[in-house]
Amino acid sequence: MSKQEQHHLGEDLGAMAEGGDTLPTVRREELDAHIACCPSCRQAIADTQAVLRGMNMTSLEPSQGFDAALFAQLDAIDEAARSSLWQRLRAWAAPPGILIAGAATAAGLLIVYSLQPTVSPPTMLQPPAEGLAHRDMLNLAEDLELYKSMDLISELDLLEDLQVIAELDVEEG
Amino acid sequence: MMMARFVQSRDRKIFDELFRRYRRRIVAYVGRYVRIPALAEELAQEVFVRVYTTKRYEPQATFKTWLYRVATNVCLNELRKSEHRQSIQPMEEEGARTQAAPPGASPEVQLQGREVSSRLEVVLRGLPENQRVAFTMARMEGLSHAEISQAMALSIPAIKSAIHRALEALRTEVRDPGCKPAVGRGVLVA
Repeated sequence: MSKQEQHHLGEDLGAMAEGGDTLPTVRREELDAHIACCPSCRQAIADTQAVLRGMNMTSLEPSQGFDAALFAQLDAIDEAARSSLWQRLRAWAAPPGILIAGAATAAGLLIVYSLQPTVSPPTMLQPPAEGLAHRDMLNLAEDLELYKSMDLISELDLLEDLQVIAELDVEEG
Repeated sequence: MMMARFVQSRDRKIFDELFRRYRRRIVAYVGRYVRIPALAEELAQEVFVRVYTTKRYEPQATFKTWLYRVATNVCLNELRKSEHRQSIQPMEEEGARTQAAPPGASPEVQLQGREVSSRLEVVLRGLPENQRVAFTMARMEGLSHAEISQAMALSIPAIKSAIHRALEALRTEVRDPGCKPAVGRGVLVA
């Protein structure tokens, strides 16, 4: 900065160029007293005022059509939002044909499901039939100590049970 | 509070009131960044469209501060795009609708003022983003340091410093056109 540009107002230069109203009274009075006897600070203030005047000369004003153009955009936004909401509602409440087809499919699946035979527990895990020979029953009971607990057996997975039984057979047989 | 009420109610009347209060200031503010009037209006409209479509508004700052932040973002986005397009032109070339010079000013003074103004515009455009935004908000829009601090998410000392540096650069242009400033602190010690 050259000697001509030197001033002593620091960051308060802009505020002082605008009259100093935004500064605390004490600070403003202090700067006023300094400026009164400091030509370089007076010059700095004059330059700054020229800057602010120059910058404020070219302030753009809204054109006559500005408001109308904006409101047209806002109307378009509102309209788009309304139509979007309507589309979502239509998508949600599907056409009757699709609803009927969906209901028919569901009913068909229900019927098919109800006609399927009930899956029986595996024969091995059922209580022995009356016709089964007494010796076979005892053998089976010996092999399966779990025999007395049919509830526990019925909770086991069939394939795993068979595997366990096979292994028990191998080990004990 | 009005903006918070608008976001809750979507009442167009509330928006219209906010728009009426700030339309001139926002157009002028945007016009300081983008010197093509048609583009400036387009961007100012984008600012208000963003206000209108805002779904969440948390009034941590004043509406004015928030609005200027939205406007600054819109402008800076445009300027970043424009840097690639190299399309910024002085307002005078586009037949600007600008405020007249002070009443009673002679044509010579008006012309001189316009010349100074054009030079300052060039200097202002060349400043770092923070300095440019802070200076424009403070000296041309009249926002307080606290408001600018909120709008720019910078500390008040940082804002003061940015404004000061911008002002020194502009002041140098007024005194010595074409010189680059070497900004010193030069603070009067109390």
